[in-house]
Amino acid sequence: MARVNRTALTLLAAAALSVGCGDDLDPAWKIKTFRVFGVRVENTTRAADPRAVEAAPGETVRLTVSYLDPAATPRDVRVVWVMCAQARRMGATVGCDPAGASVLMGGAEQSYTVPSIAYGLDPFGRARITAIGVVCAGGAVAVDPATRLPSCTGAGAEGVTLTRSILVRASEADAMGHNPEITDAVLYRGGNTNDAVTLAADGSARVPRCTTDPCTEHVIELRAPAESRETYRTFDNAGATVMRPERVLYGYFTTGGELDLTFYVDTAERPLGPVRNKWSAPRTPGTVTFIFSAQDTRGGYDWIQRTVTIE
Amino acid sequence: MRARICLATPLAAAAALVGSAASAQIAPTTPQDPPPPQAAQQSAPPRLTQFIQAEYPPDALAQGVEGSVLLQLSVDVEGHVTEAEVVTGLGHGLDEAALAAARRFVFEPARRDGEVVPAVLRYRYRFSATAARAAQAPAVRAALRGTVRGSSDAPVVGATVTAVLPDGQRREATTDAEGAFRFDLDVVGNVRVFVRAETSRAYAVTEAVRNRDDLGLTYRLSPIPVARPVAAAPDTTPDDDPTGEATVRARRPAREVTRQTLEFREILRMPGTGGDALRAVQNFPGVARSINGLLIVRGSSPQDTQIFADGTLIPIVYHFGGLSSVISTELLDHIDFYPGTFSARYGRAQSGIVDVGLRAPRRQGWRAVANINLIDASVFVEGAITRDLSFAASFRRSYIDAILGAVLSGVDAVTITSLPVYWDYQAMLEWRPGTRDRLRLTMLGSDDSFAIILNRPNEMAPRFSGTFSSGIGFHTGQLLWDHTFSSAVTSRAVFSLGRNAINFGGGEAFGLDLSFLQFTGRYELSAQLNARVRANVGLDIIGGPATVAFNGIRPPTEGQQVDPGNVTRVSTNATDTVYRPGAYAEFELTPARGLRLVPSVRVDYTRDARRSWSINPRLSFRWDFIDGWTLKGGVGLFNQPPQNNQSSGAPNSFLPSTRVGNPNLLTQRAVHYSLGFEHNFSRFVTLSMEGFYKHLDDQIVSQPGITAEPYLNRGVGRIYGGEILLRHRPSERFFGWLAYTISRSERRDTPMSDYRIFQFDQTHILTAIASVRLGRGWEAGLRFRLVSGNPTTPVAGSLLNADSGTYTQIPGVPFSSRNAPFHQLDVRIDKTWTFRRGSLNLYLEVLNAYNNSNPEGVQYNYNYTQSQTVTGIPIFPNLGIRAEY
Repeated sequence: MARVNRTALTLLAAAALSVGCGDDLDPAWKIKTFRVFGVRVENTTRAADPRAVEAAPGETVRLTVSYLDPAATPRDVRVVWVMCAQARRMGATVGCDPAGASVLMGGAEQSYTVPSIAYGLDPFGRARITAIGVVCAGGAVAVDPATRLPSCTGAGAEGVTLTRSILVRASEADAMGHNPEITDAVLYRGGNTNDAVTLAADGSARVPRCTTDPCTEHVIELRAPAESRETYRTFDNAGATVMRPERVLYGYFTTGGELDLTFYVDTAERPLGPVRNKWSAPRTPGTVTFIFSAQDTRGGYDWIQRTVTIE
Repeated sequence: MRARICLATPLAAAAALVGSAASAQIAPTTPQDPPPPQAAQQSAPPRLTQFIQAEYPPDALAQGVEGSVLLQLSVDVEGHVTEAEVVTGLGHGLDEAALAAARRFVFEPARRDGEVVPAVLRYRYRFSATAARAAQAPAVRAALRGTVRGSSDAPVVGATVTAVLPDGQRREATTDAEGAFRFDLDVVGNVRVFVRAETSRAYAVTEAVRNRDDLGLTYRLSPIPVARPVAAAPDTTPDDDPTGEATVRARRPAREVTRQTLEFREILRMPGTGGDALRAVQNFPGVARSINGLLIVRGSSPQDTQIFADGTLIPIVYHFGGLSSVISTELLDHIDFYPGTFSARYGRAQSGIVDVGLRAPRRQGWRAVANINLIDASVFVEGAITRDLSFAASFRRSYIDAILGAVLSGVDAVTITSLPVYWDYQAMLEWRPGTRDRLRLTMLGSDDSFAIILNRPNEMAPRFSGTFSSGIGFHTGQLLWDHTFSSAVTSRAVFSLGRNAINFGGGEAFGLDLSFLQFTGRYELSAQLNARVRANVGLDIIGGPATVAFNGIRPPTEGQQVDPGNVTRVSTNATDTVYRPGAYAEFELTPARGLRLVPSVRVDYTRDARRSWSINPRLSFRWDFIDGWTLKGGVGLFNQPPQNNQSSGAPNSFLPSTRVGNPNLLTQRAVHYSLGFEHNFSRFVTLSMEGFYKHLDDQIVSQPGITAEPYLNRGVGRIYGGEILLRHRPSERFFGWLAYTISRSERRDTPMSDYRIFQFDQTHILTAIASVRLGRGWEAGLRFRLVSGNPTTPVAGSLLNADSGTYTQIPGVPFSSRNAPFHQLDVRIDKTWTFRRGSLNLYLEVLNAYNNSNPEGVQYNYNYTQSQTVTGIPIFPNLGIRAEY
């Protein structure tokens, strides 16, 4: 490779360094409308392995959508999945071959049994089922019989179109991938580690509203058990096979106040550091809801929802 | 009757002899009263045969005193000056300097009735401070050579050929047994050539010599008619010359339809380039505006244009995407830019060529230059070690690491592990063992590197965090040998061996480590076969082992929309051997006066493509159909091998059943057509207009997803447009140009798809440059650019990729919209102080002087429902100092 595509590298570098600098754009952490954060896939057939994320043909998985509707009156959420066992990609969109496709309709939690068919390999060398879905708040879901693409309709309805993969196990000799896990979110008032409060789903944790300028910055730390982050076999940048800890992406989302970051990634330089983010409370009393998520690179996902009362 | 001698002022004083602190010129003599024929044949005034250059008094030079000292000289029968006195002086030590030099003149004695006689004559000795300051002019900038033939086409032996250079230097040569002569010129411009032979009419003509020209001329003399005078005065102009015979003239090496050459002053003073030569190339017609230093020539991809340094391919041309070039401007002799239909001596490129010519170190004295600005600092030194051995060396280092380090030290978004820095060096040793040989050993090197830790994951690509590093460099040793077999046969051999290295890391998700031990060789033999045919034949090769370790997604090809959900992971660690020899033959034909045809053919072999052999026939012509007007055109076939990652047959470790690339690819192919004209309005002002069309086929296109053939030759393209260049070459006070390009570049990625706009297509490109010397060392320049906005692909929607937690855009029609037009004014002001032993130049360059917010892209929020425009650099002043000793 005497000459590589330097143009592509240059553009990639430029893009990587430039994007995300728009100050006038809504940050991803700010929840203003109906939002979907992720989908957890769990193999329910393997009761002895509750966090298993992969499934062999014939096994059943449960898909659970992580979402939040900040509307004053939460709306009914309907979900439709088109399960593409043999997905067909057209540019950035995904379509389904009729053979092997099935449709699931229901709520945020649905189950699906992996069919026993001959699977092709995806660009990463894995067999997978691509699920194309629509999560619809306040409307009805449907599937176009011609295109087999799902949709959300209805006055005032908000829908999010998404894709999710279900990794199909080709061999039991392969190491199983598991969902990561978030156990707690701890808030250090004013960043003081001696003044900690564990956040709860019922809003029992209380934080004073912001009365200063600038606002006091608190620190929110996510906690996970050590086994949440797995080690797996992959290739390093020299093309050699290595065992490497998963790269876990932690997400912070909130309906109120100001977060410093949306995502936190534990890097090779900071493999075991605490997962922390700064947050300042809003200036008005009320409640603030947080979604904290964890996502690895092997199909695993977890989230917790917490509420804080602003005094 | 004794001829009266008066003193003429040289036409121009543009440059001085290399290594001289002074520039003194002696005027040629002009007979005011033409002698009768008999007298002219038997009587003659003294003729200067040895000119001595006066030393310019430092104080006079510092004060800019210049002008002429009128001398009266007595010459004895042996041609020596026995008496010299000042008739009209200048003071400031110039009179004494002129006298000292003139007393050492040697003349061919005057004759009267065939007998040598003593004579008294007057000389006007001109001192030009401007020329003296230009003492750093390259040693040899052009060659003017040729053959003198009689009416029977037989060579004229012993003819006297005199060349009067623009700065008044006078060179004389006597034709050899083949009627050949040669001048190596250290100044360029209009050179007046006078040819005299005993049995033929004298002939005078003015040749326009440009930088790096190698003019091959044939002068055909007619016999003297009976009882006609011989107009022997060497400064008789062609228009005055009633006896001049039409000659066959051939210009070398204008093998190409269009070649743009920058002169040194243009390079140094061009606004917006920081005095950087290679950045100045981006102001020529046919070159698209680029924000990251990519050379986009006539609507083609950057990798379709190759950059050479004296025939050696170099992997990069700019540091950090355009901050400065990788070769010191001080070491440049010229930059030739060929936007298309280029000579067969260049191959493996389907768009354009930039050939950087390094100059010879000075052969007298020493010189040093230091240049400091807000971005980098450089030093350059050159000098003569012995009479035949000289050297030059340059080193530059940026200090943006210090600046950026200070700026980023308080930013918690990044942790810097290796601050951005670039450096480069060049070292050259030149040896001239004789008049026929020149050997040069050159070391070239460059390195750009930085590494940071991105602490704040980007919302659009949060996994792209962690260590982000980049390094690119090369270190090359080059040996060049010029040999002159005879006045008609010359050769050049260039060999190089070096290592190119590229590494790029993006956390755990992406890594590239490439090392290429590159060998290049080139040998060219040029022979003037007869008055009408010149042949150039050559061999060149590039090869060597390349080792690459790569882990990441397969690089997209031009215009390809990267779908994060449908990328192919590639991981490999492989060594491959590049082997690409080539050969070419080219004939410069002059079938009629003013018409030059250059048919050529090039044959290339590439071991890493299925179509291993490519044969490229090419034809160009230039026809001087009216004095000052030239019609030009060309057509040719051009092949370009695949990039090595595209044709690699190495297994993809990530998907063992697949390969990194497709070893069955064909070479990409382009056909160039061009037609235009040139006109010289004056000595300085030229106009060039040219239309062009390029057809591309077998273009390599990446295939998404898993496939046995991840790249295919499915793409085609078409590029058409026109270019206008109205140029004022550097004169005493002014240089500038107005360049305009209109073009359209389209691609079709599959046989079933429609043509789309090329990723970097820019419909209109207007560049205006002007630089004026204001006097007292002040010089001011402007550059204004008005360019169509770059194409963009609108976003039609988005969907959440729940596997990654981020949104993926759904692109609309590729490149179906554009950014708003770009316009920017750059200003440069120079002030130069000249001292006894050097000069100091202070310059201020202000980029984007009126602080226009030029759109360079569109920024989206996390789910592509909001957008805002990303603008380019705001007003940016750069202050620099250039000191020369």
